[in-house]
Amino acid sequence: MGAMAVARKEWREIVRDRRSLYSGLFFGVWGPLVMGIALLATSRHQGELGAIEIGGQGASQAPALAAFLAARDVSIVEIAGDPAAAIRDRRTPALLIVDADYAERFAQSRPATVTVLHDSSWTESNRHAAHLKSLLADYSRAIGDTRLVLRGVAPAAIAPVRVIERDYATAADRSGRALATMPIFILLAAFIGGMSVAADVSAGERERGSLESLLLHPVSRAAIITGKWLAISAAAVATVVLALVTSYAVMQHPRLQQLDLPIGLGVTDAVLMLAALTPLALAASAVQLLIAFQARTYKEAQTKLSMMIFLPMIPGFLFAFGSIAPSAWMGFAPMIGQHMLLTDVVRGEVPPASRFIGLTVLTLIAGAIACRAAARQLDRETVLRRAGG
Amino acid sequence: MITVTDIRKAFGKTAAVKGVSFEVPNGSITALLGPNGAGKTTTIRSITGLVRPDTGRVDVDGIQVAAQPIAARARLGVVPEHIGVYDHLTVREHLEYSADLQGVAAAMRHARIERLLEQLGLGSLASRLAGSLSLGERRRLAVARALVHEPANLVFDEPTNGLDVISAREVRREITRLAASGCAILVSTHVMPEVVALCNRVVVMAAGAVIATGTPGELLQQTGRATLEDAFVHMIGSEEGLN
Repeated sequence: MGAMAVARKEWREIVRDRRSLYSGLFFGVWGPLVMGIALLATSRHQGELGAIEIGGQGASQAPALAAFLAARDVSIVEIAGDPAAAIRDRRTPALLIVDADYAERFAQSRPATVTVLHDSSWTESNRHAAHLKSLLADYSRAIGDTRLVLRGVAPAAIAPVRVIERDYATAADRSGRALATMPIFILLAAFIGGMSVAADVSAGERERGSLESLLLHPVSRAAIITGKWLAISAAAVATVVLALVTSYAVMQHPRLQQLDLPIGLGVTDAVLMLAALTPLALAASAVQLLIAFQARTYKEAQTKLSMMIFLPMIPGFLFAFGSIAPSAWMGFAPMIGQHMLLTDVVRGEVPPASRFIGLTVLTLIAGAIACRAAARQLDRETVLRRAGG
Repeated sequence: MITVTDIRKAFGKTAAVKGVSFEVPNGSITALLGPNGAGKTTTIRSITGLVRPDTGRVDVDGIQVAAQPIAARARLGVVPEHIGVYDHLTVREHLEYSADLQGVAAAMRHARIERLLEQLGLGSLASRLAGSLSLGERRRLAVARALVHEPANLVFDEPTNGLDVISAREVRREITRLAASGCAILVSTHVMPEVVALCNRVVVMAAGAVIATGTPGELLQQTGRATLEDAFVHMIGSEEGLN
């Protein structure tokens, strides 16, 4: 009864003063959107280049080279003026300068110089320049081989090792790697969603001086904590739902659909993820309440809680970049286990029910312990001390 | 009736309260007087159960606060010095929230809240958010909140602190009315005219101990002073070696 009264009151305040709620919900939308933008950029930047145009100066002196490049879908467009400025102004992603004495040196079988200009801070420029340099190396090797043959030397004699590089990764594979960060964003939603609300209903109430009035009512500390925890949990779960809905919407983007990604997010996956994350959101809310009640001001609580954000990111990044391999016990550890479950789900794998249930129970136990500790903390006389008091 | 029996409380090595005893009988208004650091706040928090005395006991209508804090709080109405209202709740919602937490039956709630709004001059402010109230209005709201469950015992900590003359008068009138209805009322204040106007018993504290008790007249007689303020200064000065 008392717990529900506290929860109703907290919700009424949260809805009227939306600042604390918005900061969490904003992440629910922002996180998956950033991931979507990154995915689209990855798929665009790391796909096949196709036919390209590059800038050139003096290319007319090297018609055979120009023809070699044109046969490989690289056309040279003559650019007048300062070549460096053309790159800096991004008029062309790469520029080929053929030296004035190129034809003469080429005819004499002496090294003829060409210069490739690009901007290493510009992704497109790097890709164009790399492609051009690779073609120039092919051309140089082909000409060298021909010259050796004409002189009666087998080209293989001067190339004891020939390296052939083949990258079998498709654009979908590369985007899939980027998509592996999706569980981190969704996991974070469970933590960030209730963070500001937790600071507001605990340290904020303490700072405003209304905590003493609340504690004067004939309601148990456990009921007060339960009410506040329900309010925080509602915000956290709402943020998780928003993050899942946004992630689902992002995955429906036509370009991502065309990529035939090895991992994905369907409605069933989203429901499974929600089932996995709800206990985590409840436990995270309890821990946040416990931490926030140790602060005397809203600002202090925000600072303490913001340090907590890094916790769910650590296992996620370690897994995403292959620094550690998941093991069986990790599947039952709150937070790490949820990350593993989410990863399984986006890969289209169904996690075993025993792991799912075991993890849920252990996570809820952790939340209950945090709630109990918060209630005990509320019973301490020091909780009435206010900032500067 | 509130009974405080030989309570002692130390915070670390600092003894905040050293064997304080007094009673607040039904139908009386008892003033708790003392300079800053005298132990008034610790005494009041011991009565409300927010602080647990190291020794001694506090009873509210015979219920020991330390043993049954929830039952004791249900018989207490407290107006703390720091009012602590919720800026985004209306005046009426504050009272509904308190009524919920006090377990006031739904059937009685509406009528009781309407009566309190009327009695404390908050009727026209019922739909206003507390964040927009003046200090006087907030204090009247705090009084209304403390009365929503019709407690038999009331504790006011600096009830007129920061109020204008009119608001202070309204709060004093309400306290007098409550005492007349049979409530046991404890008022912690620094305002001597308020003590003279309101209280029929005075408990004077200094350095964590009770140094005098009695009616205002008895205190004047004991000290041989003409005003309660002079009597108070005399008692505190003697206690602290000032005269």
